[in-house]
Amino acid sequence: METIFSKSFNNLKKMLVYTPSSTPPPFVLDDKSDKTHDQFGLHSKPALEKTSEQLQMLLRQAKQVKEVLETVSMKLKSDQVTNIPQIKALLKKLSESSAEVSPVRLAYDAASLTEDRKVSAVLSENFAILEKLYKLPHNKDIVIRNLMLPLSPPVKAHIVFLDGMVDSKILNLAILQPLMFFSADHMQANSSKNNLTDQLIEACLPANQVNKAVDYKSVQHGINSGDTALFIDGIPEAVLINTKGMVRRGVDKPMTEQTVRGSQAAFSEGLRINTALIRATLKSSDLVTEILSIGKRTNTSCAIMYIDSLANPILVAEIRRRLKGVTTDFMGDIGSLQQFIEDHPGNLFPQALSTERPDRVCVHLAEGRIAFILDGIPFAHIVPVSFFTFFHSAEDFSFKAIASTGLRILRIVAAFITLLLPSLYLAINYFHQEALPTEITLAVAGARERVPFPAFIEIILMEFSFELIREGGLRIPGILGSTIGIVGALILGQAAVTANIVSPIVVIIIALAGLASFAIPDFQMALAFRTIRFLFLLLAAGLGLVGVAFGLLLLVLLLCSMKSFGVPYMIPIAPRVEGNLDVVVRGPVFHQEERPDGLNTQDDMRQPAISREWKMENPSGGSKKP
Amino acid sequence: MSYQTGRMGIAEGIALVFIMLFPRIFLTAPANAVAASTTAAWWVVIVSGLPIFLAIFAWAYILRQTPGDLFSVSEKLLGRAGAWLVTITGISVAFIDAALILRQFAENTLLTALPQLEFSFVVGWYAFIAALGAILGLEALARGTYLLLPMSIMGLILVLLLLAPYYDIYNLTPWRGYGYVPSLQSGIHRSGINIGGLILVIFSPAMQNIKTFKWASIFGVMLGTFIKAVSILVFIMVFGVATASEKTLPFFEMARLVYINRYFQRIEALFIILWVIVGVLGIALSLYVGTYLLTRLLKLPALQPLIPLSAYIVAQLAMLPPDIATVIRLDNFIVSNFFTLVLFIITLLLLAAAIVKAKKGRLPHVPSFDD
Repeated sequence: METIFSKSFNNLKKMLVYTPSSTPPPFVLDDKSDKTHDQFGLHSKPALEKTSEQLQMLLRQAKQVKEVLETVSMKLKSDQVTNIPQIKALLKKLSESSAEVSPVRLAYDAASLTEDRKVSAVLSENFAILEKLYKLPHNKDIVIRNLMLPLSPPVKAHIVFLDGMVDSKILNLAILQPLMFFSADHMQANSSKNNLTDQLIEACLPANQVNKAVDYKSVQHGINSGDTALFIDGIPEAVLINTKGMVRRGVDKPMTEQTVRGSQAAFSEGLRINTALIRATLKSSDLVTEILSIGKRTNTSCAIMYIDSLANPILVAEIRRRLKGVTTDFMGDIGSLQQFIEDHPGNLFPQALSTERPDRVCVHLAEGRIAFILDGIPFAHIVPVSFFTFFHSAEDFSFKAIASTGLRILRIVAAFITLLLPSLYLAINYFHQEALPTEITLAVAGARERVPFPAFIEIILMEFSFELIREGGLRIPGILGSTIGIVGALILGQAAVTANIVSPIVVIIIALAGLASFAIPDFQMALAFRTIRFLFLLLAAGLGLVGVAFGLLLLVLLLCSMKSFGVPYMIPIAPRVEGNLDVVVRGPVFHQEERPDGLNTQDDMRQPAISREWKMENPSGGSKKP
Repeated sequence: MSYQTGRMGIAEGIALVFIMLFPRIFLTAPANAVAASTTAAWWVVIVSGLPIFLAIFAWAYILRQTPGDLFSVSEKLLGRAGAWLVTITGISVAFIDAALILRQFAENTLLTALPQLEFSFVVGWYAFIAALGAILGLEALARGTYLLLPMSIMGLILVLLLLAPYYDIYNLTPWRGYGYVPSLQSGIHRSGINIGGLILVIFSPAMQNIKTFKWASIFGVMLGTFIKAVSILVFIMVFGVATASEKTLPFFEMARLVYINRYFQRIEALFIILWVIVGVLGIALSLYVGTYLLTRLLKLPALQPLIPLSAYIVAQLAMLPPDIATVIRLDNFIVSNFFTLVLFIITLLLLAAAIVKAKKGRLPHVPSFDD
């Protein structure tokens, strides 16, 4: 019987005396220091594992031999003459698979990595390899379907695919049905096993792309890309049938490069959809699409596109060399790929034009540039580019020359405002008050009278708040983001001024600089300018206009020292080459006779000097003026 | 080899020559010129430019006979010892020029923009930024200069034009100054101020051909001389000889005088950006030239690692004179004597060697691009 004293005593004891927790210890991921670094296949199996693998292979072979012998003995016992060709076929299969049990081949297969193995003629061996490769039975999205080809004698086969990556309709109608129901009708009676796959491909598989694969690297790449692999007993090769059918986002409107005029199509995640979008706009047989595989583990497909008769072959070879020279295990984004191959990865300024618009890619391809697209990414990167390309927008050529020149000048002025306005304010405020007219100086001084912080802190506070609002607005999904951005900016600005934390002029300056950064068409370029302006702020706070001059000079020299895939970044101004009236000032479309000089294209001329031939012809109607 | 300079065309060449001649416009040089030649100072500047044109033609001949940069040309024409002597002289000119400009720009900055700062800190900053510029390479310096050149010239011309209300044409009389002969003598004596016009000799292999070298040098010197002459002309017209010869910072004083209306006055602060950029470019280029010649002289494989060290030496050298008055005096003396002597002696020596060797036939004529 517990009394109030014993209860109090127990509670007190519970509080004071330590009792170990009855719950199991929490999970802690150990840092295994003795783990060997297995890098890019430089790994060797232990001897015991090799031996065990060899024995398992032999066992599977033995099982097949047993199976064949049993079938042959059964058929011989039945005493039918018609069975003789079938027995012949079985024995031939056996002799073919026996080549794989030679000691040298066994030792080689056991020592090599699973993905480096060749496709076996023994179906059970292939099954074992696939089990190992795809970590069966844990891996649930790989499907291995057994089937029997109704040939004489019936042949066992497997089809292997990744669930969700294939189109079930194609799988059923173009693979399973023809193989299971009609393959016997199409096979020639005197067919030998050697060309069984060829016969199946030619007569039984109505898929649009069918390839043969002899090694597991190709098999894996095919299955991982959405193909279906067909393995046939006794045939040391697999058939990869195109059944790609993963759900893809369709062609949508551009999200980050919206325009008033021009095309309204944007890239999607499918590589082939994207290449097709470009082909649909640029209908030329000269347009070449090379596909490379990047990423040791992911084997992500990367397409290089260029117009063969225009693009400089040395440039194409260089981009191909750089892309082939990337060794990494995972390549998930084109931005990462860009950093792997660009000339100055440590530099903030973008060295490739990133676009989601197929029409923009086509314009640049027609100028002799090269585009590359990564599978799964709805953006294409165009190289080489100059600094001024980033101030062009997709619709520049849709407008009249004067209008788009004005817009380009506005964007460059906006970039300077983003970069310099806060630092100029700071420099003048700290060191060169005499540069302002007296009335403005007095107004600024009056506005700053009740602010307790130095101008530098004011600017930094507001810059930080603005960047927070921008980043927050970007991360909040949908329309809510922009609403919160606007409301946040209004409220924060107003509240900061009312609370005398910042002066109204600083709010104006930061708002103007922020707004100007949005006028820079390329996000990466805007980001570079936004980041560098903080450096300018520090220079202005420390050295006034002298610091700003130092910063500007270094920035210009840095830009002049850069190259985008071997082409000077400030081309066509520094070095001076023919700009074809498409740098800042944009000439009329019918005066764009030459391609950009810096690209050294195979064909310099885009159109003749008189591109409007109709101007030289007499109109068929109307009256001739004297 | 990492000391290689890349390829440059006529635009980059003009920019390089111009930036070697331009920075002294923002220093006390115009006031010194006025003090030396009074009202004739503006055309004496043109006279100072004439010997450099002759030197460019002489060098075009030398380079046509013996292609290469300053070091290799001297080595071929004067032998190893001669090459060492010429190159060491070139290094001295470059580093002394860099140090003199650095010190004067640092003093200008202290006087006009940042009076509270520590002197050595400003010198250090200038040297640091110039070193960073030099590290980025000759191509970047040339292209950057070419990009900033129009803005610099436009800024200067804007100030000169805005001073129109203050022009007094009678300040230019008597236009012969102290007389023809003394003015001409003064002009030739000060021709060393344009020694930077021969910068392309040092990098001649980087130029496309001899023609590019020749015309880039000529246009660069012409542009630089013209701008200097116009600046001094306006300077004299605005201030008159007596006041002008006493000004320490002529350009700053001119910009300070601009008054259009009460919203457009006291613009001298905004022009700080202009002269700082020009000054740093000039220092960076001199620093690069000196380091490049040092690299060639010692046959080093790379130039960049030497630049911080060179910048440190130049900064220390710049801090040696005790005050700005000494620096201005020293600058005037070195430009008028050492630089002028170097300009004439080295050019004539190598020209003579080239002619003699060509006549003796010891050097076969090497066809160049423009032959």
